[in-house]
Amino acid sequence: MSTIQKDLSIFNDFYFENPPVGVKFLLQKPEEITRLDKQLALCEMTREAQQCKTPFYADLDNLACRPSAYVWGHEISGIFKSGLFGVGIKAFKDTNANKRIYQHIKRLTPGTVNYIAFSSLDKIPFDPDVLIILTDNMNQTEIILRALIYTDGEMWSSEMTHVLGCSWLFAYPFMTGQVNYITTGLSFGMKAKGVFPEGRQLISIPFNWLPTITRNLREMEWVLPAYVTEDLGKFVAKIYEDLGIAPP
Amino acid sequence: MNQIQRDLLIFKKFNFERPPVGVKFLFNKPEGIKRLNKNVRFCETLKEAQLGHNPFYIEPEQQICKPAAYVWGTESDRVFESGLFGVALKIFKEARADVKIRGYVKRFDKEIVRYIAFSPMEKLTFDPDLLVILSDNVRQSEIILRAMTYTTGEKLSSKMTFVMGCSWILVYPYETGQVNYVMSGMGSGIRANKVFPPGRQIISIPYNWLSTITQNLQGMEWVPPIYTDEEKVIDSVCAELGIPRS
Repeated sequence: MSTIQKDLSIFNDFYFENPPVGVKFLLQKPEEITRLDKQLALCEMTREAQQCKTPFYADLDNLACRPSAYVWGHEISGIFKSGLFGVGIKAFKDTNANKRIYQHIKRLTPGTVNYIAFSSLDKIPFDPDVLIILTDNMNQTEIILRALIYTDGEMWSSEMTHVLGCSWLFAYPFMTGQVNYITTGLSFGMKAKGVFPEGRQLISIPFNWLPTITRNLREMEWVLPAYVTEDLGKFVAKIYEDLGIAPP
Repeated sequence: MNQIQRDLLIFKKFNFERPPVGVKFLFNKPEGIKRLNKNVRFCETLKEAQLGHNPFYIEPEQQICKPAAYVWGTESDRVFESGLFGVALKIFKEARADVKIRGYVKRFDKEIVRYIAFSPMEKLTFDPDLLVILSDNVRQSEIILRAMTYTTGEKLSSKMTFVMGCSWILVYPYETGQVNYVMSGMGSGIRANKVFPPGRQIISIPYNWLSTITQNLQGMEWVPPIYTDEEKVIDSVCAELGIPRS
């Protein structure tokens, strides 16, 4: 087991239905990783990595979703940015609404990413730039996001646009350093393609947050006493007493 | 029935398990609405309105969640602001993390809001400052949130802190004018008190967004064709726009 696998091994304790996926954005072709042998959308590559037994990388020729090439940092036809495509697929009423989307989304810096490597956590041969976790239920989501606030008091923020959801899974966390999560079933393209089961969370953790979150997952209680106490009123009253707070 | 009440009728088409709740923040005591006859936590007021069937209002002394008193802008014990309570609950490792959270939380100024009225949508007697919807599933949430972006291209943004979740459902959308949605089951107090079934979305729509969203719900397709046959729709749109199909 490599150091990075050891560091991230705490995630094994969740017994996720689908393994977390590490993603790395590369200028140069990765060594000892094979090229994906098919064309997929960027979001589908995450699912492919969940199901695939070996790590892989993709280049632009592997990309089957044209709008997501923009998120990757490549130029795309003006038809997409004009909003005509979004109106054509009935995501928007008019082109103005679709055009505004491009003011919100983050993309990888053009010319800096020629390859994207994917690997399920159990096989990961690289330090991931972003770790993407598809949780099975809200309990898992709550624990992971609580590990974000346990020592740092961070706010939770889920950012996304209705289209180009891949931007918020890949580019936004990587470029801003912010943990992001999106609820499956809310993103137009992923929903149309049926990439993930609906109503779960996809949590994208950028590299800078991995040490804090994994350390907190090792330290904190996963199930808070307040969630399992038989008498919440008594439980809180005892804390009030300990802290010298008058009862309500 | 006034115009906004007529506009809100579109939400009946969802057949929500629990009705949307209209909320109004008031300085003066509301007329023609009864005072709630019990004490409740701030977040529980919504459940009360969903299940209680009649409009009501509450005053600060009826609100029994001490951390939520901070959100309402009423008297709050400084121990809560010190962060010690969050540590005692084992939510935070050290008080400083709890203190930091307070920098994010929106709250009302002291004594600006002296009464809050709640009503299930079908019994609304006032123009709501906020409409709070507990969706039954992500399909309903997707339709409502798509109605926000359909003509505006607005970003979908969910803001939340682990403690004082009531701020993000009730105060933040009202004070900022932003639609917010949070996941039930992810706020400590709301979860510990089992106020809502976990794993759903609670969508808070402030008054300034109600017209746009209801109008778009009237006009847009709730299930666009691409959700049922993606390949065919993409082929057809690419052909129409002269884009080569990759």
